[in-house]
Amino acid sequence: MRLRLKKNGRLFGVAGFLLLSVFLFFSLVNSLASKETSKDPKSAGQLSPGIAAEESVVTENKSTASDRAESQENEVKTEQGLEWGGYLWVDHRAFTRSPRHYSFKEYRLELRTEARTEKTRLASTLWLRSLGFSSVKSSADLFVREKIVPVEMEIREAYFDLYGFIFPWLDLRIGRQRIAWGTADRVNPTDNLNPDDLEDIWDFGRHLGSDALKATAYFGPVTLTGVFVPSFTPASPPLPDWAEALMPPVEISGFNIVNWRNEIILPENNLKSSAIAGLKLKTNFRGYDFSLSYVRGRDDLPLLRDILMEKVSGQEVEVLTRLVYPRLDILGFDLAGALGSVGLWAEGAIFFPERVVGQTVFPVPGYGLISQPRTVLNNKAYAKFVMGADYTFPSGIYLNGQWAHGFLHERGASELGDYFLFNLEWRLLRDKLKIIPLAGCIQISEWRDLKNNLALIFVPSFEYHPAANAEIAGGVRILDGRGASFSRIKNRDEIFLRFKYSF
Amino acid sequence: MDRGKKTKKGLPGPWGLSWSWIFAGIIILLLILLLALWATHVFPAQLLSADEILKKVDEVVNAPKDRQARIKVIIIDSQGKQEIREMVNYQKGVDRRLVKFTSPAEHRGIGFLSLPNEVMYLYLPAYGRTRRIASHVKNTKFAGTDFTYEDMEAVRYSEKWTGQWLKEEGGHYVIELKPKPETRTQYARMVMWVRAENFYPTRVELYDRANRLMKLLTLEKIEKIGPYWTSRQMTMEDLKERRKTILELQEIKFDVGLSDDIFTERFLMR
Repeated sequence: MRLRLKKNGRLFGVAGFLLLSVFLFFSLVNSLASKETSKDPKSAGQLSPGIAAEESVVTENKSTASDRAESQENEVKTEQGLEWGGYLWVDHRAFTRSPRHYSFKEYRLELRTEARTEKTRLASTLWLRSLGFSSVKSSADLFVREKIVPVEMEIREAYFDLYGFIFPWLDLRIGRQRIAWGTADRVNPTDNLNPDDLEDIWDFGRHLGSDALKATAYFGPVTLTGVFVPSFTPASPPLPDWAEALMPPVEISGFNIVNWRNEIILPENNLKSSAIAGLKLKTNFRGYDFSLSYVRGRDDLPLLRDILMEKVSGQEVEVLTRLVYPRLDILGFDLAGALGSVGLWAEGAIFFPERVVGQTVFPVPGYGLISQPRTVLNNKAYAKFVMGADYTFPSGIYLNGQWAHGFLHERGASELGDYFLFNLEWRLLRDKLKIIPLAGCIQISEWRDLKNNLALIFVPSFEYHPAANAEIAGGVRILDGRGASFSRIKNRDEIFLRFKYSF
Repeated sequence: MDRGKKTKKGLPGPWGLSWSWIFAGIIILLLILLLALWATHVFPAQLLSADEILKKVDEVVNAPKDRQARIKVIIIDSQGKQEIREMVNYQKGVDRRLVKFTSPAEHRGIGFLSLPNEVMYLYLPAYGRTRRIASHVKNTKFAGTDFTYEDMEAVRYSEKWTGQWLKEEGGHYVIELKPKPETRTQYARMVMWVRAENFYPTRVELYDRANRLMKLLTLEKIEKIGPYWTSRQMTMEDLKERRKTILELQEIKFDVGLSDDIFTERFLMR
């Protein structure tokens, strides 16, 4: 499984070529089939009148069927003009352990607009929000509006669709968009085209939009999707109070860091270094949906490459760290279906990282500064996967369980932990009230020493809909453990209360 | 004298009967025949078994090749408070259905696609992807209404249920339905009132596994639209929780030739 840097490029080329061949093959087959049908448009009419009506739907020219489907949909759908909607989201959290200060505050106004014609659709999602608290520290800050009321605007999505672009079986989406791949719940090893949005660490699964071109071709039960993202965007990291859960603090044994600076080295802003591309082939077989995907991308979480220390005095050092975003080739697979009445899904990906060699510069008494190269990421492939199931009991209780091997911040086979995610919901009062008494995750980072490599996240909560479009939710988040990455934030237990109004 | 008597009474009919008796007999026979014809028209099931009635129900209820409609959903709780939802519905045959919510805002854009062999997808716009859902949801309420996913299925009763004749009542046949061994359902039995005139069901009592009457489905405003009988209003009453959901079908169109492309994830996500 060892894969060198150059081989990554070859793999990309070979896989790309194979998938392109498949795409072209299906295009050819489909266009030939269309020609065959168009040669004899009356063939369906030769059947008996009763059957002909049914058969004509099946045998008619694919383009006619697609066009008709679109016009039929638009006929019943709402008007073609501009539609808008959205929601107001208010989220307050506070730590329950001393010091019991507020931990998070967000006022978010999401505005969604949509305009349609028969063959096109324009959609956008805008966030206007106030995140965090006043950060006034001096009287001068009182004259900086953003320090009093932090406000920001973000274009989450803004794209347009072209349905039946050139060919009736081809849809195109251009612009900032979310490209959600994978069948698992929120933990998706194959979902690597959009950068992770970890700002709110508890809303994992959230991603930023990518400025991309997505083409989707539909050939009966087979769907082929190609995505091209011209430039790289890094992930949005967790807020400082929770960052340790995913990013361990930098510690240098024997030295006391008095000044720590860091540099983020983004990939060169050109097609070769910055672009991300992906292909996905989806079909179904015997009642199960399957897909196979390939992404030539980048790790969107930074990797610590260089540590440059400069002695100040005694054991005190100044440190400069450099972080990079390594190249990744990702081969993914997912499936979804049912066994009896139990819903099942599985999703996995093999990651082929590039080898990253960094340097550590440290002071050695009598020798000055010594530079030592070190491999910070080797090019050994590793696999992450998720398996899950869900079921609704006749009493209305919904149970969802997943086992994830490897979380989004983990790299390399030896680093991957196991995560058992569970969610039990009980809907009452005709879905007005949802009680979630059991929800959370158990993280095991090392099975051989469970006691010292375990973390527990337990989040009992409720959701209440007092009126149409209104939602009140609340709960507590209890964290505990030792050794595992989430145990680093075990003192961040919190209580939360949310309000949402959709319009 | 004899001749004079014969002249007075007229010619004797066959078998020595007078013609007036023969005419009276013919008229009575015709009346009986007409009565029989009327009776077989109005109560044809007297000649049909309960299973055959079910087949007739299937033929009538599932007669259209496809249907598209707007549906207004009125949810009424035990205190009479109302909640209104709206959706568009496309249906082809008995095993392809696509539903999209258009209001209220919190549900707008949510879509549900049901395909043959219990393949179902849910589309939640907030997640930007479809989600495959298994048949365990069949017992659960559809979008907070009193209809479960199973109730919302277009079904061929005769394929999943066995009928048993109970009685005739006010121009209706009353039959009992019990699930066939291979049928997976939340109900232990149903009692169905079928209008004798057109084989359209008007009332269905739904019993749970403890044989308690749990829900009552009433089909009202039954009209003939084109060649098809259809109910414009369906009410599902939850007798235990004393609440109900009314589905009002608006802008109904039949046999518009809905393409198979409508019943795909591609369209569900649009």
